[in-house]
Amino acid sequence: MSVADWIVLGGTLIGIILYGIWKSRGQKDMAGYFLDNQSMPWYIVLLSIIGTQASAITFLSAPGQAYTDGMRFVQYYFGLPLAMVVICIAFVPIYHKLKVFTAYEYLEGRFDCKTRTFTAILFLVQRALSTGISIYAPAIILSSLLGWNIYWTNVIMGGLLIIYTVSGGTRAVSYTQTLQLVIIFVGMFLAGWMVVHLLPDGIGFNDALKVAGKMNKLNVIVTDFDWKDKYNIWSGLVGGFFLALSYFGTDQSQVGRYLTAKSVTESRLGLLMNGLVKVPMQFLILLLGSMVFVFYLYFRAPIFFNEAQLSKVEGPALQQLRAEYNSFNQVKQEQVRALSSAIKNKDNAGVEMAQQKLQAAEANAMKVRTTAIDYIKKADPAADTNDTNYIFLHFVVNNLPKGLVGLLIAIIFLAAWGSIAAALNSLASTTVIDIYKRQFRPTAPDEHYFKASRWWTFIWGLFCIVVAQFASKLGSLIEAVNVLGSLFYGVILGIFLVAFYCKRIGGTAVFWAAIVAEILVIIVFITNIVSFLWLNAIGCLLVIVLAWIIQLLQPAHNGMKPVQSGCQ
Amino acid sequence: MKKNKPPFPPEWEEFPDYIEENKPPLLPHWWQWYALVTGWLCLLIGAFYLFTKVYS
Repeated sequence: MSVADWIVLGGTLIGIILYGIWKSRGQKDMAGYFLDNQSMPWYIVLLSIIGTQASAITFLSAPGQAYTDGMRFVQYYFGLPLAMVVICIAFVPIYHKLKVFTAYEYLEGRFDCKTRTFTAILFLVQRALSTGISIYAPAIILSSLLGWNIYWTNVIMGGLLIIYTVSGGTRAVSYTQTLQLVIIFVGMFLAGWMVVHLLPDGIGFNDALKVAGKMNKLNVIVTDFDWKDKYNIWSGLVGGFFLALSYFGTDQSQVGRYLTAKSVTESRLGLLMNGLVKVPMQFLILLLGSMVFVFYLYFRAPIFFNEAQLSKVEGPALQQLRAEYNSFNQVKQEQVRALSSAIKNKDNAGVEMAQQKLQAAEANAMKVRTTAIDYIKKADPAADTNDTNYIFLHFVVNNLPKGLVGLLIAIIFLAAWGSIAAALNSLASTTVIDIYKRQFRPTAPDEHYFKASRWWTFIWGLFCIVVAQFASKLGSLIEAVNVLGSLFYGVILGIFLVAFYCKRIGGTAVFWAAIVAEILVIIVFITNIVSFLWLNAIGCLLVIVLAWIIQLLQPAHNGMKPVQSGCQ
Repeated sequence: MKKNKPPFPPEWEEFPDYIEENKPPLLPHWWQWYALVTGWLCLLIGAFYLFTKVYS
């Protein structure tokens, strides 16, 4: 990186930290630390919701996902808009009415303490692990760019983030997320403009789209039904709906965002607007990945995008593979020019011929690449051979002008910080409210819980850094986070849906149903019977059905009345 | 605002009424939000479908 890049990167990150600390002023109690005394307008809630969901993983992995697999990943978000309406009707007014700090507080009133605690623990496990991955995501950038040790990079990144999250609480989190998103949108727009600008003379945005389409990289909609297919319209609508319902309705990292709103209406507006903007936003990020793919048709793509890893196993065999790969790249460059020329001249026969030759060259290049990856694996068994997360980074570092490289790297950090900060805040609130205060110190003064909240934010920050140290083996990070979420979200959602709509079911029934359902979901995941998105629907339905069955087998009692057992 | 926290357990039977009392933001009825969101989603899916077909 150039000096200008370092100045932009350092200035942006320091600016955000100082802004977060400045926004921390006046925090005195738990209501301020976790809810900002419910004072946020809807547009801050909206940006905070977006900033919490869109982590660095979104901006690193999604373009890489489009590069390797096309744009069908966007279907994953199709269930989200409808889920937002359901949450606004069913979840938001209840949380506001009860004036809760966390979503799980409600479960004790509706069921019992053990169900509340179990659900809170499921959340803590899932959120802590996925936050660890979110710390690792920006850390791989620095380690790859500068040759820094990945473990120390994780520590430095997580440490900087903890500073303003511990001191500022939810107010600092929300306001920094707002500023971060503005910078992120500007940076991503500039990157998108640059990738088109850097294409050869005479190749515009529309030409690039046509080439990407001919190479099957613009396959947004997949209508074929397949249980094992990760991203098609059906898994997106059904699985995505359940996942969004669970994530936004029951995950404290999101519930904590809209509980800061000054009224039910402001919370709802934030969520509803999120439902309207999320799909187009994700489409544009994926489109950027497809454009990067086109760029690397015209210009030589590396045989493996994680070049730091490649240099570790450099040798004659790899050099030979690289030469072979470059020869296919040469063919690709010739054929992509022939293809775009034929498209411009509306020469259908020429288009078909160039397309076939280009696809054949791409297939051959992929075979050589696969051989190279096998070679890397043999030479360094500890190597991470999935380079999806490095694709966008590689393009940024090697092709964008000075200053913009620093800005793009800064926005990846900012995106990571936005989601990690919200996660740490939610981990602390759940730990303090649902575990510590409920189980261990129910009658301490508010000041004590306020201090405990800061300590737990710090402790969870450290824990997530430790998790980040083991995240390198998880392949595509965006997928790893979603898989992890799908393992738990369905069951958590099932518990909440039973609470809202199945009034005759009591705490003991739903508690045991949730435990059995979670075990079954893990078994289904391990046996790989269905794609992970379906686990959300399966887990949710299992809880509802099993809870009904267990309730029927129990001696009759009114399920609406709380059953106090298990935590006394 | 936390000072007015209601005692647990709250009156659960109130929820359906409470929910109905809350009007949606911007539009008069919730079914209109369902229609808006569904229409928006259909529009996006249709546009994406055309996008896929046109460029492949």
